[in-house]
Amino acid sequence: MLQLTNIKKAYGSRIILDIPQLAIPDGAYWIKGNNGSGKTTLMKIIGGINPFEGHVVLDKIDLVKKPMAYRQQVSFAEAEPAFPGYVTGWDLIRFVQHARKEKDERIDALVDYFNVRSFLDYTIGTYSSGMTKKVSLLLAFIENTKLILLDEPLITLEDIFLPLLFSLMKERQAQGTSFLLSTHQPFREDQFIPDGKIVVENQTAQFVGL
Amino acid sequence: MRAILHLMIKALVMPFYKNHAGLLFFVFFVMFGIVESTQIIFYHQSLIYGMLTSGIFLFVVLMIWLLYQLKSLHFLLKTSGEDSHLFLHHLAALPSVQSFFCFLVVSFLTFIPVFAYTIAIYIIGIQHQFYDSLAIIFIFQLALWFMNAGILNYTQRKAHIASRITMPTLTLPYQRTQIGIYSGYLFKEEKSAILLSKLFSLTLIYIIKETLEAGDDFRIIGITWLFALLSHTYLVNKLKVFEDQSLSWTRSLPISTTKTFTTYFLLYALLMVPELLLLTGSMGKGLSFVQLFLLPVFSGAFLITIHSYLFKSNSDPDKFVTYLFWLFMICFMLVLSKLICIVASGLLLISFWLFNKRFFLYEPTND
Repeated sequence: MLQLTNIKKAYGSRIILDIPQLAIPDGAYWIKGNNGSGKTTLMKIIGGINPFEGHVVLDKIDLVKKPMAYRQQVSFAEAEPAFPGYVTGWDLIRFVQHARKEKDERIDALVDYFNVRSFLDYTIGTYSSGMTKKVSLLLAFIENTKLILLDEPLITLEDIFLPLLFSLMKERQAQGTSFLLSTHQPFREDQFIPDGKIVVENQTAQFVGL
Repeated sequence: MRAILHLMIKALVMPFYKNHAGLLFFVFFVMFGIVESTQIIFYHQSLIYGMLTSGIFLFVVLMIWLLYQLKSLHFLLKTSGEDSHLFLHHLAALPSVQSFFCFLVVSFLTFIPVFAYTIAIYIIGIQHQFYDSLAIIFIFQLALWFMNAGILNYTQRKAHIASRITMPTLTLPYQRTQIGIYSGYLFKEEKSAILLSKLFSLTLIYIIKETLEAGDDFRIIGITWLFALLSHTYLVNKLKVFEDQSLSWTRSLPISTTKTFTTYFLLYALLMVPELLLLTGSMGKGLSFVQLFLLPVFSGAFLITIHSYLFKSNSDPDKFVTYLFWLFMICFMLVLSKLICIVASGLLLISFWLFNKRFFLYEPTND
């Protein structure tokens, strides 16, 4: 269960988010909202990237009070990942693996699943946006975290890969991982049906059914 | 032919030196900067004499030259394969001998720093009649130039055939750690900035070092060191911008602020190692062993105090300059009062407090 209380986020006098209360049960949820409504900001707040006022609590672990324990439970894949161009894909994977203290066997299986092994020895600067996106998604799946945040996971990916991604999500859900996905594209029912929607509009976020 | 060579020098040789200026400067510094100026000639004469008389020593030197040439080949292959250098494929229209000659010239020109030193080796070798060793050196260097020219020529002429030669890269797996990623940025993406900072600080320290005499006061070194640190503040700013633009995603990882702080501290302390090496020659001349140990601590603390300040939302450049000025003045006065130990530990504590307080309250921007 993810609990947001008195979340406030503003840039100067411009209020982006003001969420008095939002409880999100375990499951996979679709974050919806127009451009500039604050979806990415909300995800970055939950991901522990952007500062904010208020409290974000995941399974009784408060991001403000126990930042390391919280971050151990959450991973995040950005909409437009920006990685250093001079490191290789392997460098990034090993860096995150080390930070998350994960085993080699798990990494190897993920690398094969995402079908990225052929280019991981090259530097990120030589990757296409789709290749970078795949590496970014792989990094989010490295650890069996309780919550995975995927910001616009469907853009730039080839169609053939989407069923694989959703299948992996289902597998992880069965192991107890929850998902928050933001996307403007509707999901194909034969591929993925979210458990509910979180609509971000008018500077707030509301939990609604499908 | 002259026009083609001119173009190739501009397209390949000049970028090579531009890209490797930092490395070449560092090697030059190691070869000529550490030794006392009065001892340089004698030192290099002994070095060359040892090279020409000891088979193992000569072998090690030849291997270093081979590594240098491989590094150069790696760069030339990579650069000539880039989209901006596609025009080089027109060389395939020339007779093979002519295009090989062009690449031979390029290969020799990138080898010039080594060849310049080899001239001194030839002079000493001929004086002492070490003709066997000189023949080995001559043939080996010629083989290196031919090797690079041959591979480059083959690659250009057979660009339509999938490469059967995979060049070993000289990149070490150090970039898989936090400190590796940061230092990788400085040494790969900010070579010119590093070169300028080091040029200033090493020259300054070298001048002061040459004037030191036994019994001199440490304060002379301390204040010079402070000026040397100032020349690195630009790098701190660049590193902070890089962190904002390319590493903001790492904030979602379970990496504590203490670990990130320690990484930066170590990076900044290690950044001053060349200056520290240069100063080792001043031991006993105003510099004790304890003070030599204290200088990197002071460096790390001073630079990370500046870095911590930058974790401030909407930081005003004018205020930053004022902050830098007062930080410098306070350090200057305390070093002058022989309190470098206190200023180093004080800065370390303040910067740690600031870093911990500000790091997660700061929002990275892509501007």
